[in-house]
Amino acid sequence: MGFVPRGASERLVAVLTDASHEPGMSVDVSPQDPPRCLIAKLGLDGHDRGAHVIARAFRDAGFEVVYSGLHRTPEEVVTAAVDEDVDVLGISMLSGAHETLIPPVLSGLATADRLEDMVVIVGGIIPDTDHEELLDAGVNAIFGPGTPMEETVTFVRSAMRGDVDA
Amino acid sequence: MHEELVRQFHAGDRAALARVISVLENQSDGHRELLQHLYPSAGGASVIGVTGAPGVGKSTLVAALADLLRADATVAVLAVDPSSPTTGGAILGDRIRMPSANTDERIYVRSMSARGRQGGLAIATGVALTALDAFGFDRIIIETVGAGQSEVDIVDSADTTLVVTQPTSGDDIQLLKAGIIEIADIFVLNKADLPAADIAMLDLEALIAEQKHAGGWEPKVCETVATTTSGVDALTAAIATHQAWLREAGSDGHRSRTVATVSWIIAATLDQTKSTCVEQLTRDSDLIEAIHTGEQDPYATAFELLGADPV
Repeated sequence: MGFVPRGASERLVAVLTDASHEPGMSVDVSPQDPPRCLIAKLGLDGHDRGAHVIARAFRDAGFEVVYSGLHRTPEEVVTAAVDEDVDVLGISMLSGAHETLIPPVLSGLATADRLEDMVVIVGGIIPDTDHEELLDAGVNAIFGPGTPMEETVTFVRSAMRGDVDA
Repeated sequence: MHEELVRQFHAGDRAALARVISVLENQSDGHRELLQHLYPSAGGASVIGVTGAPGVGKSTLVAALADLLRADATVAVLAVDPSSPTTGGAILGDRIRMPSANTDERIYVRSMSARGRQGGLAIATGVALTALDAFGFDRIIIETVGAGQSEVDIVDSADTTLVVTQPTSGDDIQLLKAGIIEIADIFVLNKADLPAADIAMLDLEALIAEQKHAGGWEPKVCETVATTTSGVDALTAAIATHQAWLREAGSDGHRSRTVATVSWIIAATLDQTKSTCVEQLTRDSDLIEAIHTGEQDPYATAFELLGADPV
């Protein structure tokens, strides 16, 4: 039901209480809450072209994207993800240090009780042989070079709804 | 009510604080009860507002300021960035300039998107400030892009407002034209190591000399180089002077913020009522015809739709 001013005419009351009219008690004008996402770069990995591209893709898909900047430690990424209350954490990793740097992020999120409800995706250069270990540790999906942006965004949207095994 | 969340919030859990801000910002179920519950714990924080054109160095300056303030206080930063008008998406980049945000638990940084809201953004930042205040932060810095009225509204909830400018920028004149000069308690000329800084400083001082400022506070001008933190200690001192002046003058920032939040909610609600009335009028040919035939004047129609006769 809409806001009804004191002493409103019958005509206005009829309009404001008409369920087919969207405006409700809430005064927010945004149609839905945009999902929040952190794109993170870990360790001595200085290449963030890919991170920029994915950040823009998520922005264009209507996400609110926080970018960590380069050379973050796992602890810093956990702090940023928790403080910003993101729904999605995307880690871009090209340095080969994923086995060292990603597990501490996952355990940090678990300590903050955020691993369960956060979608964690990894992109970049991750050898096939390492996928299983990361997925077992709590990563929801790994996207290699050449993955279409739509595929990543579609996956994240369905993982957020719980359609896919998280 | 979010009982478990509230318990964790009061236990000092930052993940709970982060979630509380989301609930308030998104106006999710139970947000009003949550806000009501937070108010009795709020009122202890002092708020610094920072605004200025894009690229003048606000985020870097805020980081340097937060680094100094955290020596004897807990500090929260609320950083607002613009959103895309077409997709609603946003890149929130202020956090990149604030490295200590991720390493020092005495600093909390939260990025917020404008989400294309007008009055709604002011409400969202107002309730987020209340959450940060209730959580117990001593100092809260709110950073926003100085581009329009809604940003002026937001900074209006600050005890001390900094307007940041830089030398050799035509934007400064635009900024000053736009009326932002009237809200500044302290002007910060950032990037003061650039060659034209002397001239910019003279311009600013001349401008302030002509400016009548409400309440008797004469705005100060500070020069900084945020990247090297040069001048930031003097800025901190100027902020302290202003806040001492506020105390002397008996100003109550918490009370002003509460008045502002209620007024933003009223404004947004009236705005929505207006849209509904106009939509109704557009669809109702009889109402328009009644005006055209001389049966009723437009004022009467407006008041009828609104259900009130203000005269």
